[in-house]
Amino acid sequence: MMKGCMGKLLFVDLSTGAFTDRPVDEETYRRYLGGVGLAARLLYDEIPSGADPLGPDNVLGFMGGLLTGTGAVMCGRWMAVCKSPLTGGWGDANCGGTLSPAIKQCGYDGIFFKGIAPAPVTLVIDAKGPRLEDAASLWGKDALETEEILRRDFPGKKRPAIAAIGPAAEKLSLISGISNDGGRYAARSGVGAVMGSKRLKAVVLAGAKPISCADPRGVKDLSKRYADKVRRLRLPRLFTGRLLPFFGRAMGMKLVVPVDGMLLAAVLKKWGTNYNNTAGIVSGDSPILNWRGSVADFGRRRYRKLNPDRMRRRETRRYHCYACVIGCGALCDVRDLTGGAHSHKPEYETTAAFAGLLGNDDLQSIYVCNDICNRSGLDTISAGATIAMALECFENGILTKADTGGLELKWGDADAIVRLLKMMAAREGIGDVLADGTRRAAERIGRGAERFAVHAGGQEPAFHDSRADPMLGVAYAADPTPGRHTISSSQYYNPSHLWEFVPWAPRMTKPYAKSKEYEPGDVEAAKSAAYICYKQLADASGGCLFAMITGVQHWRLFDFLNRATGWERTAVDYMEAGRRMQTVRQLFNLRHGIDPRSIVLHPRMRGEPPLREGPLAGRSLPIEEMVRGYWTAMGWDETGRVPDAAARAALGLDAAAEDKS
Amino acid sequence: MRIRVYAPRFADRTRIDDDGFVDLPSGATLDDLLKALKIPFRPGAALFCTVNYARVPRATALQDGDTVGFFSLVSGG
Repeated sequence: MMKGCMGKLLFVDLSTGAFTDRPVDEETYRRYLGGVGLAARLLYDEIPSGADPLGPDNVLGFMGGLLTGTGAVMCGRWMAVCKSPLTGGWGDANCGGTLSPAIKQCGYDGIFFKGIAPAPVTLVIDAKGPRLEDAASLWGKDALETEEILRRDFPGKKRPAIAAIGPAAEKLSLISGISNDGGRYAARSGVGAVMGSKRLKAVVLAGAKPISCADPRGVKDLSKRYADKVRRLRLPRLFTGRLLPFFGRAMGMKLVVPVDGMLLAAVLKKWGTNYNNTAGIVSGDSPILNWRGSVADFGRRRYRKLNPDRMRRRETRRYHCYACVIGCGALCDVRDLTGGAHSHKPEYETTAAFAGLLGNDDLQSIYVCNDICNRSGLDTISAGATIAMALECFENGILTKADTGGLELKWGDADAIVRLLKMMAAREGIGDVLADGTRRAAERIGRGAERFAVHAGGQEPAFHDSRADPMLGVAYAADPTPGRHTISSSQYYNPSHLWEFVPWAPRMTKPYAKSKEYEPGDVEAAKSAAYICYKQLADASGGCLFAMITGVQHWRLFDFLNRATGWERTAVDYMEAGRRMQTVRQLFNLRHGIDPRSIVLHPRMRGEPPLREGPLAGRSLPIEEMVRGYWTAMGWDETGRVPDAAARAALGLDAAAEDKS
Repeated sequence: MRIRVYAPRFADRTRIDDDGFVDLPSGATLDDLLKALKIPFRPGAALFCTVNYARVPRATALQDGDTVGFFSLVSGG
């Protein structure tokens, strides 16, 4: 048996309470590795075409990474997978925390739930094996309180890893996620609503099985080399948050120069993702006022209030996910704002969602919004985007006080933003209209509200502007989980150094004009295809996006995989596995009736019309042509459909076709 | 000796080859490299610079195969 994996999956039928172990053969691991890749192949078969995402036929999976627990650094991510109720297609959400090793220590590479429990339950796996326990007393409690209660209820020697949902997911908000380790979130794709629909309140994992590794010393050596670099990196003391806007200005310049992604680790160690709070606004990366504005509308006097040095003052300790040496997270003291305990600090995405996007410079309100989302389970990205839409609808008379229960909605009104978010979390009044994201809200409101509903294929995009990075726009439009910022971008590709390992990946070792990124062609298409294949490998392995950004010459994913599993495969071979996984994700969407061409970016996301002010003034994306180029580079046709032979090969139905592909 | 360099936008790039390397004579220091790249305000600039992922004094002698980089931002996360 190969090493690194646990060799089996657990299936839980919540309707009957039955547990089934399902072995996985080595050939399947070779083809799909683990994580999202293995899950996509499995759920392609398991979820019938046309299944209601909130019905018993949907299958919700919790996947560990193939490299998790092998000693490979930066490989502690877990993934929730299902058919997304938000988009109607493939859904996954990626999260740090502690759950990924815990899944494997229970003896499984993944745990899958089908059916619907007759009453709320918690899955518990410990030395006694798997069982379902009554969760009626937990139903209605917030995600963080639920975890605290379960932690008291399971005080054994081994500290359990716990995932839980909050009331928003119980109320089937399509923009709800799953919490782990006190508020780390698998937030996207509406995975929380699927868990809520199954009446699965929580998962408590306290297994202690060892995780094998073919070459522990070899893996340790790779990890140590990476960790040594991260530990050596220190920013100079005079590199304070006040300098970040200047660095942001450089980021938005017209010349793109090669950078060493490893140096970003120093920035992440100091500020986490909040380094982009101000830099992103200045560079044009952060959308302002529901994607219609720019730094001209949210200038220095306002954005400087988001200086991440201010956020550091509330930090009580740094937070590292499992196997992480960077530690971009932190716990912070917000007792004066929320009355609750210490909590995970707001990430960049959360800050951007409730600050510049809404014209809000009240930093304290960001902490409050973060706490509301972490407790209720709302995805901060989608929730912020939906509030932005509501503000613009109100401004244009599409929503009035009669609709909002007397609440006046204004850009930058922190009190109104907090009140509206609470209403969404509780599905009260107008909050019920908004609780399922922008697309559903626009359908319910009517009167032209869809003009202000910024989404891609039903999912709200994250707060990195596609007009600043067309390759990101391709990912927003063409990934089977649209609107995701973690899939690919030129900002990620350029420091990746993939070309040193994969000959077909375009070399980016020389400076070039930013305008080149807006020219559709083979190079841009190949960059998108290469990074997306690489991303699939990372998601199969439990790898962290920030490790990817540091570059594969540092975080040696291909070597980690060989040393952990005992395989002797080339980088090109692994990249073909990545292509296979992405093809299966695409096939899932096709099987569920999604025409890839129907996923269209909101006009503002593609610069139609272009902004008139700010660093992105005048920029628009030839997105359709770029997406077609990406599809072709993946080996699909120009409509995003997968030719039969390639489909059979990706699904492993035809070995001969696989050999030719 | 060959030094891998990730230079800032304002650097003079004439000495950097297509693969991102600069050839320097044996015994050259970080300060020599900054001069070759025509980096202004070298004492200040050196603070934002690393050699093999550690900050070092400008007088540090470089070795063949060293990597020199400048802190910069990548949007993401």
